[in-house]
Amino acid sequence: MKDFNKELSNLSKNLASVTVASVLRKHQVKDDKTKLNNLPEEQKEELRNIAKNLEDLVNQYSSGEDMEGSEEQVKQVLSEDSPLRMLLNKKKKERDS
Amino acid sequence: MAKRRNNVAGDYYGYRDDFRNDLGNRCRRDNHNDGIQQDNAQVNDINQGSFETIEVRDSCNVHVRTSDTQVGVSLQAAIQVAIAIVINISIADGDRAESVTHELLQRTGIDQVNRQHIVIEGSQDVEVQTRDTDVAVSLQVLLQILFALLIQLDIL
Repeated sequence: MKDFNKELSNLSKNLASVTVASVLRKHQVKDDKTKLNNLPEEQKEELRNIAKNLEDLVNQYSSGEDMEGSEEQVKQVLSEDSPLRMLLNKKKKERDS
Repeated sequence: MAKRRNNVAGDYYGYRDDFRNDLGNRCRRDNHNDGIQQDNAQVNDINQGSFETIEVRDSCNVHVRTSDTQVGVSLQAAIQVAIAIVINISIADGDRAESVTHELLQRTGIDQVNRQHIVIEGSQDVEVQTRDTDVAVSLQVLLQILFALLIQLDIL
């Protein structure tokens, strides 16, 4: 059963990958690198941290850990210091200045 | 898409099929703009309904713990924002970035209806734990889209 779940998870990841690739190709982003911004390593790191943080939160939610302290979980998602919130605040400051 | 949403609402609220058909016929009769088709493709298409009842009768010492969907909804919104940010930062052309964001979020369309009815009768020392797996599944799908995007854009 564990192998079956792992197989399904891999299949789902592959489908997500194919979906994203097809959308990027459709909008001519995939094959033409000039349509992409050259992001600095610092910004890439920020985006990786956001994804990792969200992955941890989803895993906690899916495994049922939130049942013990759902209110704390909501606070964490909405907190000022989550990587996503920090990036949004940074972008807002950049736009305002 | 509107039809799918109606179906989910119907399943959720228990509409009968004949009522739904009648409603559809009436809508068609009242529609004076048959030639106009509205394209709703830009709307994110996640329709979910969860209907949970727990009945406790003639019992004592019953503990019920249910998942808090508020957490799931917050996470869902956060992942969608993250997807939009990654695309907007990475793709130089703003219009193109917007189109890609809408199309990706649209493709994560999920229709789900979850019904649970739990009855505990004449029992003692019972612990019930329920989980809204609908939300968990849609979160996993969105997360996979986010990671696939990061890989395809050479960020991860």
